[in-house]
Amino acid sequence: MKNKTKISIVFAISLIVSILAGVFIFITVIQTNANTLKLEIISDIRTHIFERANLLDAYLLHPDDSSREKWISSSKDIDVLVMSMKTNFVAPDELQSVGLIDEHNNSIKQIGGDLFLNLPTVLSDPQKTHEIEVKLVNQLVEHRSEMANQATILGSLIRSKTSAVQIRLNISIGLLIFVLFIIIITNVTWIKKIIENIEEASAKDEAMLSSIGDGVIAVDESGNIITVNKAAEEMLGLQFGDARGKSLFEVVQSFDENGIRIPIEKRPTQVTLATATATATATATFYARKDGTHFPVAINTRPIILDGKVVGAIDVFRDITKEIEIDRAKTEFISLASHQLRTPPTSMKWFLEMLISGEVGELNEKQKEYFDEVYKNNQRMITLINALLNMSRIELGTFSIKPETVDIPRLSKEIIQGLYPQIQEKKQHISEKYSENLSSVVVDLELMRIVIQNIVSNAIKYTQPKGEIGIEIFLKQKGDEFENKIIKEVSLALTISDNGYGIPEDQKDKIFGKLFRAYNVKEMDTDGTGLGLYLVKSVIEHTKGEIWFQSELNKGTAFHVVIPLSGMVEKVGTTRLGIVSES
Amino acid sequence: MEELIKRKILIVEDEVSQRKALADKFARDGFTAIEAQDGEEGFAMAIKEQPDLILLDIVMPKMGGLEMLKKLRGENEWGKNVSVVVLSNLNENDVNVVSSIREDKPTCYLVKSNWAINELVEKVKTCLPKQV
Repeated sequence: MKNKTKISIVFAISLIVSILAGVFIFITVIQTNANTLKLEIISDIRTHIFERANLLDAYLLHPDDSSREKWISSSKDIDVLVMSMKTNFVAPDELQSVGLIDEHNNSIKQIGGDLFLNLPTVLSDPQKTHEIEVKLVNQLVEHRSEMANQATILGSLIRSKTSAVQIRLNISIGLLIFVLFIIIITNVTWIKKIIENIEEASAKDEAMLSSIGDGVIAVDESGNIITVNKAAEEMLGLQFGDARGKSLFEVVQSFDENGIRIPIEKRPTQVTLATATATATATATFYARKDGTHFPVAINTRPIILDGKVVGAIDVFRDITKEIEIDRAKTEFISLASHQLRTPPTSMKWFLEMLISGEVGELNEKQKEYFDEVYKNNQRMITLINALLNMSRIELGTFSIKPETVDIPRLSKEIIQGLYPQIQEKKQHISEKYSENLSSVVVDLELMRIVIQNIVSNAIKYTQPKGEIGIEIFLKQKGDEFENKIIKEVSLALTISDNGYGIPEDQKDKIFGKLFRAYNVKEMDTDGTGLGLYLVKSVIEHTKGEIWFQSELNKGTAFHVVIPLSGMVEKVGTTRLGIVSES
Repeated sequence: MEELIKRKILIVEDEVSQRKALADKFARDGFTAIEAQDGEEGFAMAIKEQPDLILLDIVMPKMGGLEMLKKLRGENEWGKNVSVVVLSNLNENDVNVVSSIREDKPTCYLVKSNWAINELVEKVKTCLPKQV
């Protein structure tokens, strides 16, 4: 259950209990008040009963008008009290006693009347008069004691009722206090648990934050620092205490590779705050330490979104000095390897060319034939080295992508021109088809050249003499169809087909592998490096494109390529890929 | 007019085999070929001999080709305009090469292994200053 719900429930229960307690107390107070009034009436009536009894005695001793008047007056007082009893004592169990009291009172009044008003008329016979008087007095005493008795019964009934109310009140209050006690205990337990959870979570967060090796800085929506972890403190040489609440853009300054300060609106954190999207550094960025020195960083920022609103951003960054060094080392290795590996075959190539051309003396036919073989193998070596170097550049990720406006049909024609000797030798026919909007497409020229040249060169190599080769290039828009695929964004779509040897079924899954050559063509063409398609696929994948093919043995092959133009974004690498030269 | 002045080419190349191949070839094709084995020697010889064209390798001991080119373009009046063909096995897209091409403007940049020696000579001929 959520804490919010728990708290609401507890609050509601507490409220109900409190209201109930109030109602109980209110009712009890009213009941007690009523009972006190009743007891007072009873007490009054008892007093008056005995007072009237005394007045009777007084009358009997001195039967004069004065004492008679006093008795009658007292009786009137009692009547008033009995009337008040009738209005106040309404509970069924009380009514009986009240009725009896009333009855006895009436009887007393009647007897009193006989005694005080009628008796003097029979005074002629003193003996008889005395007898009547004694009889009436006896009746009067009887009724009086009954009346007093009923009053006592009623009194004890009311007292027992009062104590019952008290007991009920005590029990209810006891129960309510118990319920409130339980609620408080539960609440305290919950609150304790919530506090513990919060403490644990914040301790965990803190531990996690300080254990993260990357620098982490959190800022609020205006870019003021909320949190800085230990790694960030160490990297930047600052203390969280000093930076808290200050603007990230002031505390941590950022520079480009020329040491020029990067404007706030271009900093990933600001971009994230403004656009509510995750941002990463795309260009070389340096953070300044407190001592003024700079170090290169890779920054990733993410927005902190609460209830659909950006309330801040998290800045995760790391020092990439090592990566840059490694990158440089890789590049240097490639440069060195390319130089060192190419130098010996280049010397051989030149000397062989001078020998074969006969400019230093004619060779006989066999000598020429052999030197041609040597030359051909040397050329293969050069091709292989170039392919390997390109492959290394791709694998080490040191190649750059440099988009420029390219006339695709012209590039394609250039490539075909370059392959013309091979095409002519095999007397193959090439058909070309280009869509109209291809004359200025922004792509990397060299990468496009690698893709087209390798696939076309393969088509030529692996198609029999007089075969047909087709090149089709289109610019496809989003939603267009190309070879049963729906194009997702503006892309170059290529189909390079032939009616050549085809790819054996069991080799199809290996065709893009490194150094792979299908068995059906290995023997026919010994020049292949087994790197061409690997390179093509790597290039296409690096530009977020796709390559696939259809092929049937001895009927031909068609390669399809889709390269989204958005994949050809500038990538600052250290070298560009060069074309694998085909001799 | 058979008595044309032989055009002088300075070949700066640390690789003995390649230097020999180039020197032999250019000599056979009617040039005066002079040789230097590193940038330092090449720079001194260039100033002294003032060749019509310098064929310049990049990766060399003591002083590399790009450094020599910078020195030539920057320090010497004659060197500012002399035809220089940079001939290397580094890709022309190598970062250092790109900036050198932009700043010190060699007449031509050729990747060695891409060129047959005959074509190379033909290419170099097109880079020579017009004969007066």
